[in-house]
Amino acid sequence: MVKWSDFERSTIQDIFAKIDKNVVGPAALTRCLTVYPWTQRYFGGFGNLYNADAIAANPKVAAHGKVVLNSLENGVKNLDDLKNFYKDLSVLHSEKLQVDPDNFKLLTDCITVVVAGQLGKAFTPEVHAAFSKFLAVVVASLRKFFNSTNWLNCC
Amino acid sequence: MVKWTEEERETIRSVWEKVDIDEVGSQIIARTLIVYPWTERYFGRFGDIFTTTAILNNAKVAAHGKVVLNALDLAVKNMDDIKGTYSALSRLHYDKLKVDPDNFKLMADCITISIACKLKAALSPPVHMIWHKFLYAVVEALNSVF
Repeated sequence: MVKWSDFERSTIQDIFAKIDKNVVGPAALTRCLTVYPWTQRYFGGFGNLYNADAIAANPKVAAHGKVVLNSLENGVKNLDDLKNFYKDLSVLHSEKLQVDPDNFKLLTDCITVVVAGQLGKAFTPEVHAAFSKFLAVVVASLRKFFNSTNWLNCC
Repeated sequence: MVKWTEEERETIRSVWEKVDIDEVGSQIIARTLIVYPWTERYFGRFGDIFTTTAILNNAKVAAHGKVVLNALDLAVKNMDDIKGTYSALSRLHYDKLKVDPDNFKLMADCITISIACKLKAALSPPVHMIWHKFLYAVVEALNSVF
């Protein structure tokens, strides 16, 4: 089980209290699809993703960005058992969505850049470290059920 | 050789001219050491870098960040031959400093975050994409001798 210091807990909670998840979510997913264009292949049903402006204006991208940030906000409420909290999402991303798990880090990198842009100087190195640890644990939890015994059972 | 469009050149220069090397430089090594603590092993000569407070108050850490950004300035001025510009630096990091090259990306990420804190909305997704391409070229150039 991951151990969190008091500073880390309060810092992570504080970040989510300060940011507007309905702004950060859409901005982060937009950024990911723009900066790392190969990630667009996971969003074939989203319509027009042909250029940066189209991505930024796409309502499905915005809506899905909010879904992701809502999930992270709920993760903050479950810091002591993120692995189990994200179990269903891990299975979903592995079995149904078949996402290359290396892409999780690309999205969390974009979330970090957006949050840094929102918080400015307040995103100090210590705050950055706590947030980075939280996102790394979320990513590890999402990766957990990839290549699990589930696919052995199908043979 | 990496190809740059006029728009990319202009964007990279425009981001770079907003970066105060003294201000941002003092942050980037500190951020790397704090967010990715295993990188501390490369800075053994810097004295006390074993707590967040020590890192943030360490003059050598701040000074070295400026050295790194001054080197990045060379890349901005030599976009058409970053690999050639960095060949001596690549050899230094390989032969003498023996850095695990995966760490170059970590510092590049910290540079981007420090710039995001400063530029905020000005580091829009399209600008970020171009800046990322530039830093990727820099990291590749540092990797070239490995």
